[in-house]
Amino acid sequence: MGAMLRLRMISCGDTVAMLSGYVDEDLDPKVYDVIKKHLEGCDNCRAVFDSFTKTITIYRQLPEGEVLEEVHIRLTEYLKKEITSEEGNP
Amino acid sequence: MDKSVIELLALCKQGDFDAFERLVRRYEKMVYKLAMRLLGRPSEAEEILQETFLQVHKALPRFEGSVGLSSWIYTIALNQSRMRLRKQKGVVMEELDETILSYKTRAPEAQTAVVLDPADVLVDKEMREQVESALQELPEPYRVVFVLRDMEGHSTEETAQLLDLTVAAVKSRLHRARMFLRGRLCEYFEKC
Repeated sequence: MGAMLRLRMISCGDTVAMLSGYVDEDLDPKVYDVIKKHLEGCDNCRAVFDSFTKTITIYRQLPEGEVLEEVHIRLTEYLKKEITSEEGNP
Repeated sequence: MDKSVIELLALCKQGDFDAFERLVRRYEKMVYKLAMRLLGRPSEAEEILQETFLQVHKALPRFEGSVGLSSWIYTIALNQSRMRLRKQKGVVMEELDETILSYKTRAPEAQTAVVLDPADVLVDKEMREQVESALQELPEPYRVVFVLRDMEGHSTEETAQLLDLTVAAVKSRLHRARMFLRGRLCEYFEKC
């Protein structure tokens, strides 16, 4: 009972500390619900949660690096040179 | 393992360079993408490509296929990138903590004015550079966890295995990395 009461009165600091677990749905269901309720009633924590999830989204959607053909050609030339040199000096 | 990969490997082990080039072509994007995310600079990612595939070539005779070829090459690229990362200077731990905790000192009205829009950030080149630059500020232990977990899409367990960390350590570092990046992006864009 005491633990549940403490959970209901979760602080902003504890809420923010558990945001990753909340976003990844990696929390005990009771804790998850307490945080959900806290976020519904706390503008500050909801703002942090909002920018927190947007930050993750931005990084997940960053464009992937492409290997340009000139990079592939330089890589192949480098490897051929190094491998030939190693085979010449075993 | 895919039959075409087994055949390719056999040819590579016989010293067929054309076959090795086909192998390079098959996996170079995976290596380059990881190195770019971890190191942030095309010149360094290109050097990681060279170091990784040279090491792959040297170690190929001992590769027995107990793990997939792709995972094996990925691990080599990750280790090469981490070695290089450790030589770089990121932000000091105190600054990491300050950025993470700065939300506590912000006025409530500043906390609620969130208009950071992923769509805007991703189409604007200057904004994207700020986002990439923030990632490069993260110290190596945090950056590597964030990149593997949130950008490369590995699970927490896979990330722990790749880095030889406990699952709890991955979760803790991931949270600190995310909070740091959130703080940095808010500072850059002054919108939250």
